[in-house]
Amino acid sequence: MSEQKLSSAEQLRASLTDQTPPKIPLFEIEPGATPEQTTQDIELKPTPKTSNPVLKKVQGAALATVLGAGTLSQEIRNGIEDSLGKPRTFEGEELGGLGGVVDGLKNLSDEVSAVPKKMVDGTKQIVDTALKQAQGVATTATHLAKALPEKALDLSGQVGNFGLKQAQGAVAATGIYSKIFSQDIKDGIAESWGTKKIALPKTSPENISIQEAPVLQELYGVTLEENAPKKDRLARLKELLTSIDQGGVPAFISNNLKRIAAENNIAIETTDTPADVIEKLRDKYLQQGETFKNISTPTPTSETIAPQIQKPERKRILSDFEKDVTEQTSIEDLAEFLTSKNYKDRMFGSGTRAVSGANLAKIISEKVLQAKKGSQVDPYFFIPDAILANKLHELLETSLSWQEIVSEFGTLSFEKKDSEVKEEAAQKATEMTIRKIEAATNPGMWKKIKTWTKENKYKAGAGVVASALLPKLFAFFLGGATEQKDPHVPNNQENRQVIEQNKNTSETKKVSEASTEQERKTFIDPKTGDTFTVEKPASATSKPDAQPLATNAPAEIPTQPEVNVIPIVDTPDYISGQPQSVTDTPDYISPKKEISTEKSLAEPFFSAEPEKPVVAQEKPKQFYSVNEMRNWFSQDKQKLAAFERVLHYADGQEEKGANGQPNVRAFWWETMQLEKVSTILPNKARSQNRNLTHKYVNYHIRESGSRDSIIELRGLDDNQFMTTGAKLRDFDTWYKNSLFPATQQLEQKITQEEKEGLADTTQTLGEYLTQVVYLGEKYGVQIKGIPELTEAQQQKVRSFQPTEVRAEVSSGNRENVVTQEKASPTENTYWADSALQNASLRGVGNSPYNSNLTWLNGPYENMVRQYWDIQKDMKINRHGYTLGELQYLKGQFEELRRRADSLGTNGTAFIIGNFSEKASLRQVDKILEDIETQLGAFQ
Amino acid sequence: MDPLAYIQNKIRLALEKRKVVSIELDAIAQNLVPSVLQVLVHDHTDTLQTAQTAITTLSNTEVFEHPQIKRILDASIEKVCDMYKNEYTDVSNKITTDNIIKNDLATLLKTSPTSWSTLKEKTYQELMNNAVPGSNDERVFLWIGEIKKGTGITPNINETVGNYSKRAIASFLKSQSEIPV
Repeated sequence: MSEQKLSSAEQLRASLTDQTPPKIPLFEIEPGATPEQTTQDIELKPTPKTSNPVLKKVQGAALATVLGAGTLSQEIRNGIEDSLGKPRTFEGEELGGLGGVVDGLKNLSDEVSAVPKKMVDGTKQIVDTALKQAQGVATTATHLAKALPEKALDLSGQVGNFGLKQAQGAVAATGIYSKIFSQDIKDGIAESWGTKKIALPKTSPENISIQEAPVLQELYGVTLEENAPKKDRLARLKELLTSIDQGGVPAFISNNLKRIAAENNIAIETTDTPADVIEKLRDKYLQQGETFKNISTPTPTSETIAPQIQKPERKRILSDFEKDVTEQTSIEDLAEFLTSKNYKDRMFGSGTRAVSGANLAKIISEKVLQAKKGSQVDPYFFIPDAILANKLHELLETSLSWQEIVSEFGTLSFEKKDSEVKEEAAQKATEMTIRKIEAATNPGMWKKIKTWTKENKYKAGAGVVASALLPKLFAFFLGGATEQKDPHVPNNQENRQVIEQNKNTSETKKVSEASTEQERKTFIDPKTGDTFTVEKPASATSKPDAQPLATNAPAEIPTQPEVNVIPIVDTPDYISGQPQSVTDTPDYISPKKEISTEKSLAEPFFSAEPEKPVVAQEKPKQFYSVNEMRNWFSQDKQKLAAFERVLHYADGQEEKGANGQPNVRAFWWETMQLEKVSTILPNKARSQNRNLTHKYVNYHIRESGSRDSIIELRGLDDNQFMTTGAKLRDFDTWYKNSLFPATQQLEQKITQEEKEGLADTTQTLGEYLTQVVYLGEKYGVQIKGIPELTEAQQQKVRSFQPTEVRAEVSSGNRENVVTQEKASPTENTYWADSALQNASLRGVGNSPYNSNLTWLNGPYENMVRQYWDIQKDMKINRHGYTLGELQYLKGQFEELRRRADSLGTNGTAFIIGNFSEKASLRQVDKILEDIETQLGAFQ
Repeated sequence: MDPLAYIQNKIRLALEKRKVVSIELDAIAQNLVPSVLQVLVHDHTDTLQTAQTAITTLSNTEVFEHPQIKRILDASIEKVCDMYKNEYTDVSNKITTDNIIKNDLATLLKTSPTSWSTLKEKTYQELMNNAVPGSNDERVFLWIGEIKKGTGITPNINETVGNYSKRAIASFLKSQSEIPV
């Protein structure tokens, strides 16, 4: 051992403790003496060989000390840096402070790192040196533990509870393990050389500080006196029991414990734990007539053992927490305890924790595994709690199957899936989150995932499946828990082989490239090993990352018929993430349906079967109230819109009772189309989405010019897309052969007033056609292919008995109705009212939180987003707002505009999303313009 | 690397960054793992499908570093955590609201603690009309005045006292919880 090295340790202590360090090394070397002479009490027998198992043990112990010191120093650094919130370098001027502690410990570990290599030689000198160094580590660690708390606080004042505790515990652990190892070294040497005359090297008592003396005594278990009188058996036993009561049950049955047990005729069974042996010794002691009392002293302030080392004279009993630790009977129970709230709160407080119990358990499991594999000597160096470390050590010692235990550690956190969250708010919030996500995603998926996790604990927890796990995992979720074999995947084994090749062979690339398309659709069920394909509807291609799942579907995607692509116009910038167009397959398009183009001229395009109102589709012979019907259709906007139209005509019939027929016939058209040709049905909001009318007008009227003169249908051709389908062709056929000739005849007969009536752009297609039919009857022009509206059907219309007056009863009283609607939002427009009210609740204008723009503008942002979202939805579902609703929305957005201006003037910005204030205002203006445009169609 | 533990840890870290959302982060994160996977699969089917071939040849660690996987995983975790945070805020606000009302009334109406069940059904207008000096109605009326003053939220004239007190306090708590720390 060089003086230089001891000197550096000495300097380190001086810098750390602010105490006068020992003036000479701990182990006195007499002037002129050789290293061999410094341990003259050791009587060496033949030179040990490197293969000596005891020497190996010594080497291992020293190595553990070195590794522990190095790793712990890094742990301390990490912990403190975490607490300080940023990495920093401790050196130079801060050497006397915390940086010195950390760096010093690192230096120390470097200093000792040469020991194992030297010890391989097995010479007396080297062993002696190693012993000293190990003792030096222990002593220095003790000083570090003592110095660290105050130095840490002095340095920054910010070191959190965790960092401090971790550092304390880690340093203390270094000390205690050094102690253990030093004892092992002593015992090892003694056994190896066949002598019991092991004693510490000569020390010079005057050079040992008062504080150090008990520390050394505690650490090494020997007195500093060179010729300390030998204690008798009972005294040794008493000393041992006292020591245990002060410092806790040892981690394992040491040689010293075995020796004392043997002295007292105590047999140690293979199943005995250290606690058992101590209990036997205690009984023995009591039997011998001397009352032994547990020594009760105040509990140390920290559960780490640092205070115990610093103040060995203080006696302690186990706290409740420590008792809990020692009462764990298996590693599984101990790990469970570590994950408990009790442990976490105890160790880290109830606030923010840098390390969780679960993580700690995981660290333990990793270290145990490493220890088993030999890559890490000591698995529990990282436990900043001596009691816990001791217990873990004890359990590991008694465990027969480490490997399984490691696995259990890994899966532990998932085994306790349903029992963790205790706090009421957290519990409810978790449940609600899970429910909402479950509702918003694929129903049943959560259950599948949960079931899979439960049934595959080992895979899910231990992660031993390595790279294959994740793809399989996802594949499973993608495919669901299907046990069915996909008929479109020719051979499961082949597919597995392909995957394997992809992983391991050089041919993988070829295979992969050659079958990329196929593989992308092929997944493996991790449970069954079955492969299956994931197929998505054709429409998924236009909606990336947003499609529900479809599995076990045929591999071949059936050819889709022609579809309408509805462009989404005027989409605000912030919705750019949304698809710019959507693919919509109309109901009437069915690839299986044969298209007939050979209808007779007189045959209508619709069936001549008796028509039923929409209610009859569900329950043909039962009638419902209007409100019931509305509730019934509330989830289907398209059907609801259709139903509203039925109501409209049913109501209108009463008002036009004088000539009755037009309205009844209009209703007939609408209801019939509702059931048979739903896409022909114009939307609830007039002049919108009349795709069929567009075709009708453009192809048959505008292009031919035959109808322009008498029937202006400007409002009916406001969509610029085409549509196809059997029904349309049927309609065209019927139009060309029946309606068109009739209108040509009518053109010469109807009055100017009637022409204007037909040119009413606000009327629906049904109204228009009904008027044509009405005029045809009036002027004796036959229109072929019109089925009769039976009395029974008319009666059904009347039986709806609408309970409330709709806005659009007739054009005559529209203004009044609009006013009525404007006063109260409908179910289509309530969101605007809610948003404004919500904003008001947030104290707009007078809240002390006006500076919080996100808080303040949140409802407004939602209001703007909601408008465009609904618009998009309406375009897809081909319906729109009523006039009254538009008027109402106009008022609401004008109110929003006023508030936005107000916010601008009182110093608070009106901000929506990522837009600037001006751009945000433009968003509102844009909506107002859009509403105006829609209102224009009603003019 | 254990994928589920990895996700759990990521959730936990994400929740840690937020304002207090319970101390039981480990357990919460554990319970939310399936939800993250649901969102992941539901919202990012295409990406998963596209990345399937690529990630088959990667180790678990590398998979999580794969740009696409990392992106969609982070997005899914963020979505779930956002939802959880909102739920937690709402629930804890509601619980706090109930506690505030309960505690206030325990002091306010200690002579007749059960009278609240009747009083809370009264509208603000009715309460004003019945607020005879020394009566429970008056006590509650004064208490409502304090809430109005403290929260800045005014009761509607026809709103029941019970609804108003809950609405005002919850709204106030929500406004508090929205303020950046």
